[in-house]
Amino acid sequence: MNEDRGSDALSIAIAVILAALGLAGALIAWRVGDASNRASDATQEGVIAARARSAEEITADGLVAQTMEAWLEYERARRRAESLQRAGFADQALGNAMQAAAHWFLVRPEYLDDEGNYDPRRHRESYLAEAVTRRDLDPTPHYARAAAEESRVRSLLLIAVLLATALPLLTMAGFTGGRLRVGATAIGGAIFAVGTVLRIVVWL
Amino acid sequence: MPASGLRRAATSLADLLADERSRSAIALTMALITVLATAVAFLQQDASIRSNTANREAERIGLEAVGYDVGMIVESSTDYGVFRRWFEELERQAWANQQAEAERDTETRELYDALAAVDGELSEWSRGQSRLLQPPFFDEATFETDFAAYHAELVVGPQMRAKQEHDARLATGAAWGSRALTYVTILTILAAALFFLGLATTLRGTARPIFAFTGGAFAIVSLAWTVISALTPFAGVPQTAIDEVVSAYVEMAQYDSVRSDPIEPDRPRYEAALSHAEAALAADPTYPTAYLARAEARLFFADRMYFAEDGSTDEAVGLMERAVDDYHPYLEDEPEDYAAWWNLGWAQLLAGHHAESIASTDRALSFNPDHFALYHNRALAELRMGDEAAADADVETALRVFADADLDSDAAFFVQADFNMGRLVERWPEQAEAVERMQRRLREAQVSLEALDAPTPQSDAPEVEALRLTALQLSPEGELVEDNAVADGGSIAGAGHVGYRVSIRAPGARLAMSVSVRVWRDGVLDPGSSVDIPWAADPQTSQTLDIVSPYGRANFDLDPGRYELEIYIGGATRGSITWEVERAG
Repeated sequence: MNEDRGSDALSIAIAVILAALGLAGALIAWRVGDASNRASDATQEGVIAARARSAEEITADGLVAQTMEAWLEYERARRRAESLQRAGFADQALGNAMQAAAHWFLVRPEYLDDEGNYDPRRHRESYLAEAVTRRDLDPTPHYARAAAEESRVRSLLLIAVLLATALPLLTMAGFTGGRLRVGATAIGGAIFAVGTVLRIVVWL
Repeated sequence: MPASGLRRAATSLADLLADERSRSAIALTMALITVLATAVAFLQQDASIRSNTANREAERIGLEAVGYDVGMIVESSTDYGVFRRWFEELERQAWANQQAEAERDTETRELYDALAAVDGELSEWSRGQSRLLQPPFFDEATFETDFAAYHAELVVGPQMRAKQEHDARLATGAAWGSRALTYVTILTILAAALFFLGLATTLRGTARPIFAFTGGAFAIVSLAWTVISALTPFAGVPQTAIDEVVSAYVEMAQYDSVRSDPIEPDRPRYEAALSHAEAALAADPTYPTAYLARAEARLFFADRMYFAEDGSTDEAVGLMERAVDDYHPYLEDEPEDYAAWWNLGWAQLLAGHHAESIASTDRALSFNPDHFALYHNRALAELRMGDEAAADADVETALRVFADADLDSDAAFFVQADFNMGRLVERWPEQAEAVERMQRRLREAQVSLEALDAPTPQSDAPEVEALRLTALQLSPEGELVEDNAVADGGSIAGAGHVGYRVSIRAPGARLAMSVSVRVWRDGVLDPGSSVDIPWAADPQTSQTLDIVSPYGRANFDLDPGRYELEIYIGGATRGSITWEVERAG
């Protein structure tokens, strides 16, 4: 009688674990799908940010080129004016100073260093730093999020493989008897337990 | 005996699968297949993720390259802008020094001296603002700038690197994508295996072993395919190979672009380009672009050599043959690269494989039928095969495409084709007359298109009765004054001359009829000397026009070389003069 009751309990345990395995597989499949979608969305957001950055960089390059041209003309006329003034040709110097003034409105004095040299790199970086406050220009966090979700997909599928190994053991337990049956059920159950714990860790 | 053996085996298998144990075995097999299917699903997702990652990386490289290209265009525009200003300061300084030397008034001379000093300071200052005026692109000793090296290293190199790295990532993405699809196929087969095994558990008699065996066979095939796929290594293009290809193209971009210049100074560049292409192939013998790089290193050098006066035709043809050998493996991998088919056709033409050349050019035309140069190349091949009618037809098609397509590149290819034909007259003595006729047709069409907006000259264009060319000088008052006449076939000194005055007498000319002048120096059309004007003189007198470049207006001497001038009236050739400008000193 006891042996029969034990056998029935084991049969029920096998059936329950097999059912739970099915449920776990379904949950993993759902989570994998969800993580894949999130990875895809993050990738798309990263691409949009990268394209926006590229467009802003082009605008910055155009602005810097415009400032550089103006500064070159301004600085040339200014230097000529200064030299002519020093040489005692004030009227010629004034003519050149007036010429320099014509270019000044496009020069950005905040990007001139102590010696009056234009710093295009600082101007460009400053423009981009300001642009970041208006638009999302950094693809890195999006790509990192995509990579994290992809890593989650890999881990979940590895856990699925682990959980699947319980299936043949439990199947074997279904048609064997004695210690082999108990052993196969125990190992299958242990794999299911470990897989479930890992799944929870990866899930979160 | 074998038949009875098979029968016995089938019976044994049926017996084995007939009882309850066989059902258990099938169930266990199905469970194992499920494990395999899960593992394949993991591999499929992994391959798919790797594919996505590679594609993402390709996108990043592509966007960065666009940003770099635009940035570089802007930066190089500034570098060239500063270079122009530096040049301007030097010219201003030279002018101020000249004026100071000639000036008698002390105060005015002091002003010129001050201006010369200022311009000297500014030219020095300018040098610090442009990479074109700094080493390694600027030679302090000769004061010369290596524009080709600047372009090659700052434009061609990064562009080529971005393209190769982008393409390599895309290829990786595609390879992983393909592997992911393979796993999907395996999963489908595994599903079929489960289906057959599932059926086997419900059937009895001989059907059961058949379905069980089929399911098992599907599972074994799937397992084998999975193992092979998972263990097959995927080798992308190694970075070394990409680096070497980039270096090859950086060298090639510095080949002399002036087609009439001597070829030998280009040889070290060619050898370096070839060596880089071969190193790329050693690093990855399956890298198609490395074959293309080697083909182009040979072809571009051989092409210059074939047409250069100091080039060896035999060596050029040998290099063309080897270039052809390299185009084939490249085009097997990239069969839609029309430019490669175009170049292959050109290499085959010069190497003497005329029928193959026509076939390759036809392939290029199938992808891009709007390129004038392709019809021109085919016409040359047809001419070499003795089919003048086909050649003439292709020349007319080339001209129609030239007129209709209005591609910016066609003007450049026209200049190149014109130069080539000038040299082919010497290289192909049997076809010299036909090539000369073709060249004349192309020249008249080009002039007619510019002057009359139609590719055919006016049929009633009058003859030129007298054509006179006189060298011009710039007087101290800034006037252009005639110096000595230039005789056909004669020579003049470059020093002291700034341009030419052309005098044309054509009694039949009507008012507003188009008069055009074209000038070639060392066989290359000089677009800056082209003049198209309406006839404005009394037909009984001469129409005169001046050909003076901006350099001439600034009193620069004429460049030395062999010159050819042609006069066109109503688009038709009506006279020509050739002369030599001697090098100063």
